[in-house]
Amino acid sequence: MTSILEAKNIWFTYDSRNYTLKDISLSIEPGKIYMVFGRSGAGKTTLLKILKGILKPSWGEILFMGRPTTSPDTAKGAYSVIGYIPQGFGIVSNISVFDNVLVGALSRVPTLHSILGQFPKEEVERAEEILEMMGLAQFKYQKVSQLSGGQKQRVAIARALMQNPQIILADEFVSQLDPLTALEVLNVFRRLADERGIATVITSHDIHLASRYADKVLVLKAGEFKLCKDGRSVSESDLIAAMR
Amino acid sequence: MKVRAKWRIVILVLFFFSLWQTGFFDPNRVAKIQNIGPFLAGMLPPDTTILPQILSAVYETIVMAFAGTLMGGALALILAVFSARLLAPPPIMALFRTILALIRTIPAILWALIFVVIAGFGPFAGVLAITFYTTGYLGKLFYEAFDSVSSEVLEAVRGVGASRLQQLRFAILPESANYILSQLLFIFEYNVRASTIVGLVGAGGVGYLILALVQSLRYSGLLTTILVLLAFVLAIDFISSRVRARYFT
Repeated sequence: MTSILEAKNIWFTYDSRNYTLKDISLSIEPGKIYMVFGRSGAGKTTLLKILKGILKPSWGEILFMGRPTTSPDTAKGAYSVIGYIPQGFGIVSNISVFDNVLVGALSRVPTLHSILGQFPKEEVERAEEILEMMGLAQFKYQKVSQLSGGQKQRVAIARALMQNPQIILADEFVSQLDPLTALEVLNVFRRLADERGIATVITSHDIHLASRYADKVLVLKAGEFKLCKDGRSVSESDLIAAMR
Repeated sequence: MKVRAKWRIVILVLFFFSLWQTGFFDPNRVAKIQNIGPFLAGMLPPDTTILPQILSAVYETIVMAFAGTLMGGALALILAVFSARLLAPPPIMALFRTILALIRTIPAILWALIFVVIAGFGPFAGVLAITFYTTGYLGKLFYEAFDSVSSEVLEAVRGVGASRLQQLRFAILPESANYILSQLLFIFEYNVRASTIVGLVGAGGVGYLILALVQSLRYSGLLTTILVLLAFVLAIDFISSRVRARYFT
């Protein structure tokens, strides 16, 4: 299967001395869930930021649909179809749930119209559909600051979906949730992968969920991949051994 | 002798030098402190006959503070957008931060003198003075608020491909809205007092009345004015701090 996004021999350093990522290669295919495990400081967040294009690799290249993202056109195309959910969800707490979801459409709406709050009818309808799908319809006009952690997380997914993404990158996404909500959220990602072919890369340090949800499991340790296995064939002891 | 002890002596010497330079060791001046007795006696009893005149001047002061706060706040918001590291390119940011610093260098009373010269005596000059003072002060607070918006929120909104204006509208303004409104209320409180000061140089309001009362030696009227002003300032401070605590913390 052709990959949507590919990282080839990525090296990254923040201070020109210590490498946070060392020779990382990863190929992301449509409809697959990737779970990247690793202890704090292993380089998980840096990896996601590089895949998203927030950070530029020190060496190596990122290919989107087979083309390097060093070309501005490819980078722009990749940027708008890669949904990124940071650790703290990155949602705007002082606006409504609906406005947060509409933020996902900003790249398709002319600036002047959007700042006046005039979104095309089809974008509004799509935002409503997504709210419905994520079980957030009754919170449409509530401020995000009034929601629970799990609800905020669903708002972040809804905003990412509004981008019409081909990939969603979610940083430490399930670690902050109670087990039941974590399962609900992972079921949503599974459904999106199976029904819409959306690939998901989730970083986590909660190894219990790996075999049940991941198509591919990767372990990052001190900036290097120590394990890369099919989700169904990986055991918790494999993960623990690789992370140690 | 230790360095710290030397510094103490230097500061003490400078302090006494400053007192000497400003007439504190001049017996003729010190003797004038006695005037405080007749001055305070002249204030009593407070003159209530000028109450309508005082209320009208206080009303004018509050109106000046309100108009100046809103106009200054709006100007500060615009200048802050161009001064924010997250929104403006470095040369533009440096230029607008310098403009704000220059505006801030001039105190409200000096702005009032400038506008009294330009526009003549009265509240119009006062409002302009308050507007400029507010712009300099709030501009700095606003751009600092913009720059302290969570990087995660910004990365996420940028990550959907939002333009700078869209980032301002959908991330930076909403995230700093509480702080901006809270500072606006605070500066309004402050501007009620500042409007009194600018009035002393002829820029309208209760300060203008205070100047007239002092010049005509009507100290009992001065006491009434100070008491009425105190009541209004305390009431505004109380309401403003309650609103800020209730909605913006």
